[in-house]
Amino acid sequence: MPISSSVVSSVATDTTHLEVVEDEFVEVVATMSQIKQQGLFENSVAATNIFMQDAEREKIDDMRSMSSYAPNFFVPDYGSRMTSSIYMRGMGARIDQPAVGLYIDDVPVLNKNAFDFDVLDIRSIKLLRGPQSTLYGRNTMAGVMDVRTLSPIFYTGTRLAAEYATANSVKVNASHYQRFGEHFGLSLGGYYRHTDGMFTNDYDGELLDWENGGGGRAKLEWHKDALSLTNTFSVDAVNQGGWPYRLIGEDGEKLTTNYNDPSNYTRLSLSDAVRVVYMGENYALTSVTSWSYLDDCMTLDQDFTPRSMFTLQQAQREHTLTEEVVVKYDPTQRYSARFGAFGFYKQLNMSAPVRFKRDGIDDLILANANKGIQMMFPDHAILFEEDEFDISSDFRNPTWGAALYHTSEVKLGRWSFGAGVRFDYESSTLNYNSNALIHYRFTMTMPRFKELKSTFVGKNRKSFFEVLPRVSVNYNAPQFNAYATVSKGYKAGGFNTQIFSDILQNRMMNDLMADLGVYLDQTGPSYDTAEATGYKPEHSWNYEVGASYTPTPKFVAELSLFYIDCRDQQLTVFPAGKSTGRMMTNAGRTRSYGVEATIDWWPMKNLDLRAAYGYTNARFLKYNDGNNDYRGRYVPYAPQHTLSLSGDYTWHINRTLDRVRLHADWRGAGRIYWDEANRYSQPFYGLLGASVALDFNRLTVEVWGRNLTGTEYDTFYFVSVGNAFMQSGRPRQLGAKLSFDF
Amino acid sequence: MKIFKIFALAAMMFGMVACDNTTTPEEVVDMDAPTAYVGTVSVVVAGQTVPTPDSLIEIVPSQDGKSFSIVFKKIKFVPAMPALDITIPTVNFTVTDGAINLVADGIIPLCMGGEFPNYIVTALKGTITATSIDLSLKFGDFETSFKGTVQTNA
Repeated sequence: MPISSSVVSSVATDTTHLEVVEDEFVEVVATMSQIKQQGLFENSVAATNIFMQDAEREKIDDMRSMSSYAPNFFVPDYGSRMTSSIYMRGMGARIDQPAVGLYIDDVPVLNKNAFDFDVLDIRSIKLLRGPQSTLYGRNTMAGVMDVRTLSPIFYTGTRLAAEYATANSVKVNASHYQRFGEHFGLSLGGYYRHTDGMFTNDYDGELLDWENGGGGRAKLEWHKDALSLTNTFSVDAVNQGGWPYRLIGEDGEKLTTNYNDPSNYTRLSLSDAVRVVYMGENYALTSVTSWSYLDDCMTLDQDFTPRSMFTLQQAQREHTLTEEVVVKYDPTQRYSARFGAFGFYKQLNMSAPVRFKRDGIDDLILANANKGIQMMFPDHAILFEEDEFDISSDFRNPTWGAALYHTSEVKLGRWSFGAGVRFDYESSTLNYNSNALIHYRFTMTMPRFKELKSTFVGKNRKSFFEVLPRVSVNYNAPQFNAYATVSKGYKAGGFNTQIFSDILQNRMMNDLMADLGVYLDQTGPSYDTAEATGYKPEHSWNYEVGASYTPTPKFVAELSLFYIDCRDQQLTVFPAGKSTGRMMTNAGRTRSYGVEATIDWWPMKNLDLRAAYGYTNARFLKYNDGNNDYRGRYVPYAPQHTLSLSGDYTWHINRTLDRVRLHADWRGAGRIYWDEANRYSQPFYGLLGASVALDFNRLTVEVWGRNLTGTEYDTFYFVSVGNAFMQSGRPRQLGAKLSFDF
Repeated sequence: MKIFKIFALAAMMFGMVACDNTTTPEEVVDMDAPTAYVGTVSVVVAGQTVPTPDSLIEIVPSQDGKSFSIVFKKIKFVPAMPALDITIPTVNFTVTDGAINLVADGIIPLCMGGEFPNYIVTALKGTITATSIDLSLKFGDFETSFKGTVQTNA
C-alpha cells in the first residue's frame, strides 16, 4: 500500500489532534525512517499503516497483536515472550535471525528475543511488506515494522489506563508528556501487567502461562530551528511461565499439558538512543546512535512430559551498539538521493546447560549404548553413577557489521524511476566450549565406576558480503498509483547453538564406547562436527507490482502481487531420531507468490469498514534433508491465507456522554502446515473480537472480548525426543478498560 | 628393551664374522615400540570360517621387555555383534632363528574395561618376523587366526 495514501486514510478516519500532528510532524522534523523512505520507496512499497486510535481499537500494542491485521503478516502466539516467530509472504524464522526487522523510534531491535514487549503510547506502526534490505540491511528480507511513539513536543498531557480481563489479567499504564518552553519536551511513562494464565499443567494442577512484567520509557526532545535532538531510554522486564505444549498421542489425540520440571522465562532489556536530525534547505542529515542490553534466562522442561528426561537453562547477555547516518539530498524537484551508512557491534555471551535426568540418561543415552552390547551380553549393561548430569555449553559470539547504501530517484511527470544499492558486510565468530563429566561402568568387567569427560571446544567464524540492489518505477496520478519493484533480500547466516547438546551427547557416546573398546554400527546421522554449528545466509529476489485507487477520500483500495525466489531458505528442523536439539538448515530453494489486497471504506460519516486479505503460495523447489525429498511441499509455519475484517460505528450522543463506539473485528489465518512433509496442518480459522467504548470527555470506559466464539485452533507444532507436541490457541477472553487522558 | 632389537638370523652375524663378505644382514625386527599389523582375521563361527580383511592388531612390548600385549582392534566374532578391542596381556616369547615365537595358554583377555573371562585365550601360537605376523588362538570357543604384514606409514 502506498504510504502516502495510508496517511490520507488515517486522517480521514480520525480527526484527533494526534493524527493531524502526523502530517505536521513530517514538515517540521522528520524521523530517520521517514527520511529513508521518502523518495524512492515512498510510493513503491507495500505498506500497512496503523495510527494510534486504530491501534487502540484493534488492541494492537505489540507484534503478536498485529498478526493478520496486515495481509500475509502472521505472528503465532505460542511459547513465551522470547518466541516471536514472524512470518510474512511465506518467509519467516522460528529461531535465530528474524525475517522481519523491528525499529522502535528509529532504533533497531536486532535480537528476536527482545521483539515481544508492550510498546507504550504507540503513535503509529508502519509495516513495510517485502524485502527492505536495500534500506534496512540484514534480516529485513520479509519486511520491516517501524514503530513510533508519542513525542512530548507534539503531545502534552497525562494518559492513564487500567484494564482487567480474563485470567485475572491486569494492565496498568501511566504516562506524562510535558513541554518546557518552545523547544524542550520530556515524557515519562510506565506500565505493569499481570496474568494468572489460562493453561493448566495437569502434572501439578498449576497454571502455566502466568506473567508479571513492567517497563517504562523516558524521552527527552529538543527542537530549535533546523536541529532536533532526541534521547529515548526504555526498560522492560518480564517474569513468566509459558509453553503450554500438549503431547499428541499415538492415535493423534491431543493430550493435556503434563510435564514435571518447572519452566519459566525472565528478561531484562534496556536501551538508550540518541537521534540527531538537521534539516537543511535541500538536504537533511540524521544520525541515530543506540545501545541496547538484553539479559534473559529460559528454564525449560525440554521433553514436556511427566518423565525426568532433560531440562535446558539458556541464559544470554548481549550488548549491542548501532550507529546509522542518513543524508537526504534533494537538489531539484526532479531528483533526490539518499546516502546512508550503518554499523553495529553485538557481543553475546550465552550459557545453555542441558541437564540429563534419570529417565533421559536411561532412554536417550544408555538405551542406545546398551542396545548393541546386550545382544552379546544380555545380563550386563553400562551404568552411570549419576542420577543427573549437565552437558554444559558456553558461547561467546561477537558479531559486527558495516554497510553503505545509496538510493536515487528521478521524477518525469507522473512517472518516477528509482534505483538503490546497499553494500553490506557482516562477520560473526562463535567460541564454544561444551563439556560433560560422568562416571560409568560396565557391569560385566568393571567393579568400580570410571570417570569419563567429553569436550567439544572450538571456534567458528563466518563472514558475509552482500550487494543488495533495488529498482522501481512508479506512476502517480491523482486517484491512482501504481508501482513495480525488483529487489534483493538478505538474511544473515549464523550458528546452531541449540544443536550443541546433541553434538556433545554423540561425542560422549563415542568417547564412552572408545574407552570401552566397543564400536557400534552408526545408526543415524551424526552431528559430531563443528560444521553442524553453522548455516548459510538466505537470499531472495522479490518481484512486485502494486496499485492503489482512491476515487474519493472515503474509499481506498490497494492491491499488490509478488513473486519471491528464495535461495538457501533457513528452516528449523529437528534431527532424526531421539535427538534433543534443533537446528537451522538451508532449505535449498523455495518460491513464493501471492496477492495482497486492502480496502478502507467510510460509507457513512460514522461508519468505518476495513478488509485486508493476503494469499501466499510458498513451496519448496528443492529441499532434500538427506532423508526425504520435500520438493513441491508447502513451506511450513507460514499461513496460506490471512484475512482481517473490521468495522467501527460511532454515535455522537451529548456533552456528558461524548461518544459511543462499537468495534468488531474478525481475523483469520490458515491453512498452516506444521512440517516439511505437510502431514500435519491447521486449517483456516478465524477469531472474532469486539468492543464497546463510552467516551465521557476525558474518560473512556470500554468492554472488550477476543475469540468470542471460542474457536479452538492450534498455534504451534513441533517434535522433541521423537514425540510430537502442539499448543492450542487462547480461548475466549473478556475484559474491561478505563482510560483517562488529561 | 634392547632384547627386542632382534637381529634376524642372529646366527648369521657369526657367519659375517666368518668372513662371508657376500652375506647381507637380515632386516631388524624392531620391537621397542608398539607395532601395528594389517591383515585378515579369520574366526570360525558355527563351523564356518569368517574372514575379515583389513583388520588391525597391535603388538605392544611391556615395560620390562619380557612380554608382549596383543591388541585385536575392532574384532567381531559374529556379524551382529559390535566390534571390540580385545587385549591379550603378558604373552611370553622366545627368539628362534631371528623370529619371535609366541606361545601362551589360559590368559584372560582385557575387554570392555576389564578382565573378560568369556573370551579366555587358549592355544595361542604365533610367529613375528620383521615384516609379518602369523597367529592362531582360541577366544573362548572361537577359533581365531590372524595373518598380516607390518603397517607402514606410507
